[in-house]
Order: sequence, then structure tokens, then C-alpha cells
Amino acid sequence: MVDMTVTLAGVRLRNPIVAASGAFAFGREYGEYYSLARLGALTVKGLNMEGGAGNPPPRVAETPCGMLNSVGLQNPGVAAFLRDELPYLRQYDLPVIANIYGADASGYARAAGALADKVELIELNISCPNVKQGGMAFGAEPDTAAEITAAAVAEAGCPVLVKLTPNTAKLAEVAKAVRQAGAAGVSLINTLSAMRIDTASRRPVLRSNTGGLSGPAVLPVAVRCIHTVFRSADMPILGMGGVASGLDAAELMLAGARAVAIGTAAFADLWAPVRVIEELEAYCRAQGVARVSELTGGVRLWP
Amino acid sequence: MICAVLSNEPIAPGVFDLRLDMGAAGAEQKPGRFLHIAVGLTLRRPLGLCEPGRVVYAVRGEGTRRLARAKKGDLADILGPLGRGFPESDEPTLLLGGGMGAPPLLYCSRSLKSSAALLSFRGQRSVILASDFANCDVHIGERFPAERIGSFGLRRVFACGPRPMLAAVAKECARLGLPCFVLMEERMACGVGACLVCACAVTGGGYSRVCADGPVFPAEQVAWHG
Ligand SMILES: Cc1cc2nc3c(=O)[nH]c(=O)nc-3n(C[C@H](O)[C@H](O)[C@H](O)COP(=O)(O)OP(=O)(O)OC[C@H]3O[C@@H](n4cnc5c(N)ncnc54)[C@H](O)[C@@H]3O)c2cc1C
Ligand SMILES: Cc1cc2nc3c(=O)[nH]c(=O)nc-3n(C[C@H](O)[C@H](O)[C@H](O)COP(=O)(O)O)c2cc1C
Ligand code: FES
Repeated sequence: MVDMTVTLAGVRLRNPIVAASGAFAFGREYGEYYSLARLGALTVKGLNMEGGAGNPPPRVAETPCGMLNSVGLQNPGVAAFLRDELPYLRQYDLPVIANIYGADASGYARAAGALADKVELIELNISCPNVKQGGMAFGAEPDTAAEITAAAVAEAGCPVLVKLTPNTAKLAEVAKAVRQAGAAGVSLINTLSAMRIDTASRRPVLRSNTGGLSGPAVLPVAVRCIHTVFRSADMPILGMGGVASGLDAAELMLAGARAVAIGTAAFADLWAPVRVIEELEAYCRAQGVARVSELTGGVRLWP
Repeated sequence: MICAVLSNEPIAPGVFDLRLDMGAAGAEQKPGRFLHIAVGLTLRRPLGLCEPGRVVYAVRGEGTRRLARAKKGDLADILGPLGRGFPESDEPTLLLGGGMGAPPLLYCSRSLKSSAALLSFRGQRSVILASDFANCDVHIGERFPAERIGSFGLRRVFACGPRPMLAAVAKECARLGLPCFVLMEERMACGVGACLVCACAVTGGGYSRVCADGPVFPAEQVAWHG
């Protein structure tokens, strides 16, 4: 028997596999297919106070080994989430991570305050490539990232993760800055800013012209980003980006992640998170690992 | 769900007729619902049911090209049937199909009373399924004449085809005061309502999910220029 439990930013998870924000809405749809209590945790779709309509379609384009999306944070708002969606999730013994965003630091703070003690973790999305205001622009600079983190941490009644973008040359600095500002951990990576063009019409495939790249194509970028933060900032990491198998999850953990989220892989295989848990456990058994948490940071770098 | 391919044969240039052994999921099949088919790429491909256990599809890009290689006895990885189909009452209906809009309408024709189908195709060689429609007068044309909708004297319209055609049908039906239901196509990822990529702009603002709130919508709910 492998001990699959892990602790992420002070929260105990039954196993390290987490549903990534934006791929699982508020859980209902996947709950029709398997018990959500099998997951380590579930991250809900990005929320803000006001709610948002999102971007016009097309919002998705396939790429070699991945996809672009430009959903643009369509959501019903924090109040509607608490009223209509959270009670559904509460029927499961399952830590809930609320992914939030705002137009400025006070927007993040208000959303964090409204969710305060109602969820186990809050994840600040300062890395969305699909919104004009805020999003990725906040996450690229240490100063703005720290300002938003401090504002949200002051209002949140639970540990705060900050979701970072790979679209910055200052990843280690941003991670250190948000740790100093009170973040209990970081999530990474969000999608990479990207674009596709239909050669017949010469139009971008996405109606928003650009979108965020996810799926297996970004896995090596995630491994590198996680390892950079693991070595430079020494803080709990929720890793994600292109994980589709137990070995992919093990790779992110070896790079430094305590837990691993899955998004895009669920589109081809609805049961991907459940399958990955089993495959990860099998990997641990084969490696003679008694506790999955031992994998974290276990990469043996070449000297 | 893994199911066996019974056959996968071309029925017109670039158009294939795929038959599947749907097993227990067979009972959930309804006109207008779709199957989300894995093709070994990041995203599944949504294809409307043409009949129980049958989809008819045009080869467009890499996904449908891969699907076209499936042979009898191969196993297909299917999610579904998914989505909300056409209304189920059997009242006489005018079925309007443009090109690959014909397959889902064929399924509708099976359960309708004395109806009519007006199907448009680009050229004689691309005509498909015309002789398979049941309980229907079938009319075939090259162009889609929205102004003929009223002349059939039928009190309800189901339409399936390219968006400009659906918009023209919706407009004419609104003018005539006919209830009209349209099958919308949008690019999908999850297919079950969780990822929000399959957005259809709706009247009153915002977006509905084509995969879970549709793909069939009352035409007046769609914001055609949204
Ligand atoms: C509810 C529904 C029912 C459909 N029923 C049928 C049918 O019965 N017969 C048929 O021939 N086609 C049908 N389509 C269209 C079919 O899904 C596309 O032609 C197919 O996905 C193209 O895939 P591809 O890999 O060959 O093309 P590519 O262009 O390589 O596909 C790239 C991406 O775009 C998506 N895409 C491209 N065109 C469309 C489109 N028109 N609609 C949705 N996604 C698209 C693909 O799914 C894929 O994710 C239906 C679409 C929907 C949404
Ligand atoms: C359709 C879609 C919607 C997403 N929405 C959000 C979101 O609302 N907030 C967020 O922080 N990340 C969002 N993401 C990013 C994912 O949570 C994840 O960071 C990224 O997709 C990489 O993981 P993956 O390759 O497993 O999908 C979204 C991703 C996809 C594909
Ligand atoms: S395809 Fe995911 S919500 Fe429709």
C-alpha cells in the first residue's frame, strides 16, 4: 500500500491529483460520471465579484499535442457560486479550491473576502492570457504580483495559492515576491499565450485572435517552471500543465510539485484524473516509494 | 465507452457512413443528440446521430481523416450520446437541411407524421441520404430558398446546416410566426458542459453551451449576430 496523501499549503489531500481550474466548471458535469470524492481536490472555474460573459466564439483551437482556449473567464460571480454551486460540491468529502481574479488588487481582495472561510484554499489567477485587464499582466512583474497577493491574503480566511504565468522572464522573482506577500504556495503553470491562423481564410482560428496553450505540448515547460520555483523560492507548489498520465504527474512531482492538477487531459478522457491517480500509485509501487509525498523535488540533477 | 465499428463506408465523395454497436448507451439516442468521438488527438470530434448507432460525416481535417480510416471490427472510443435533441412530439414538421445538416434530420424524420424535407447540396454528386427519409416529401435543391418555407403549410421547422442558412431560416420563421428549432455547431472540448469553449451567443446577453444547453436551440434564443 502506498500512502497517497499529501499536504498542500497546510491542507491535507487524499491524493495529489487535483481538478484544474476551468476544465471542470463547478464539478457537476463530471460528478455525473464518477464520485468527485475520489479526487485530491477540485479547483473551480475562475470567479470574480461581478461575474463575466466571456469572449465570443470560436474559443478553442486544436494544436499539435494541445489546444488553445480563449474562454475569457466566463463565470456567474462569487455570490452565485456560493449560493448555487458550492452546496453541490459540499456533498462530497472534497477540498475546494476557489480560483479568483479581479480588475485590480481591491477586486481580488473583495473576492477573497467574500469566499473567506467558505473554501479550503483560494487560488489567485494572476496569469490568465485571455482577459484584457489584469490577468497575465499582474503575474509577470514581482511588484504587482506581491501587491495583489498581500491584498487578497489580508481578506482571505484560508491559505492562498498564487497561480503564476510561464509568460515571464522573472518567474523566480515573482514566486519569491508572492511568498513574502503572504502566499502559502504557488500554482503553475497557467496557459502560454499563443495563436493559430487558418491559412484558407487568413483569420486567426480564435475569435479573440490569441489564446492560451495547454495540454501535452506544455508539459516540459511546466516541469522547468516548477523546478525553477522549487529551487529558488522553497514553497508548496501545485503543479499543472499537460499531465495526461501517472508518469507525467510523477514528473511534475519530481520537479518539485506537492500536488498535480489536470485540465486538458479530461477532454479526451473524462476519467483522466481517476486514471492518473491509479497510474501514479502503480509508479510508486514499482519504484518502491512508500509515500507519494516523497516524490516532491526528488529529481536527481546531473552535477 | 468503447464500442465496435460495424462498418464505415463512403456514400459520396469525402462522406462516410459509420455504424456502431452502441450497446447499453443505445437507449439514450435521440434525434439532435451527438456522439463525441475520440480520434487520438487532444480533442474529440462531435458528430450528430443520423440514426441509432449511425453517424454520417464529411472528411474536413485531421480528425475526420483519421475517423475515415476506421474499419469493421475496430474499436471506437465514444462519449455520449450527449446534448439536448429536437422536441419529441410527432407533429408534422418541415425539415430544412444544408449539406451535412441532412444526417440529424434523417433521424428526426423517423418519428414524425406527414412531414416534408427540403435538402440543399452543392451539386448532384454530394447529395446524400435523400432516399432514406421516412414519412416525408423530400425536395432536393442546390440553393437554399428561405422564402419557400411558408409554402409548405407546415406549422413547425427543424433546421440543420451552415450558420448563414440557419440565420436566414430563423428570420423567415420569425416573420411567419413558425416555431423553429436549429442545431448549432460550435467547436468543442469537453462535450459535457464543463469547459465553456462551445459558446453560442444568446438573446438577452451572454452565452449558452452548445454541448449541454444545445446543440438544438429554439431559433429565437440564438443571437444571430452575437
Ligand atoms: C453538435 C454537432 C453535430 C455535428 N454533426 C455533424 C455531422 O453529422 N456530420 C458532419 O460531417 N459534421 C458534423 N459536425 C461537424 C464536425 O464536428 C466537424 O466537421 C469536425 O469536428 C471536423 O473535425 P476535423 O478534425 O476533420 O477538422 P479540423 O478542422 O481539423 O478540426 C479542428 C478542430 O475544430 C473543430 N471543428 C472544425 N469544424 C467544426 C464544426 N463545423 N463544428 C464543430 N467543430 C468543428 C474540430 O472538432 C476540432 O476540434 C457536427 C458538429 C457539432 C458541434
Ligand atoms: C478551457 C480552459 C479554461 C481554463 N480556465 C481557467 C481559469 O478560469 N482560471 C485559471 O486559473 N486557469 C484556467 N485554465 C488553465 C488551467 O487551469 C491549467 O493551468 C492549464 O490548462 C494547464 O494545464 P493542462 O495542460 O492540464 O490543461 C483553463 C484551461 C482551459 C483548457
Ligand atoms: S464543450 Fe465543454 S462546455 Fe461545451
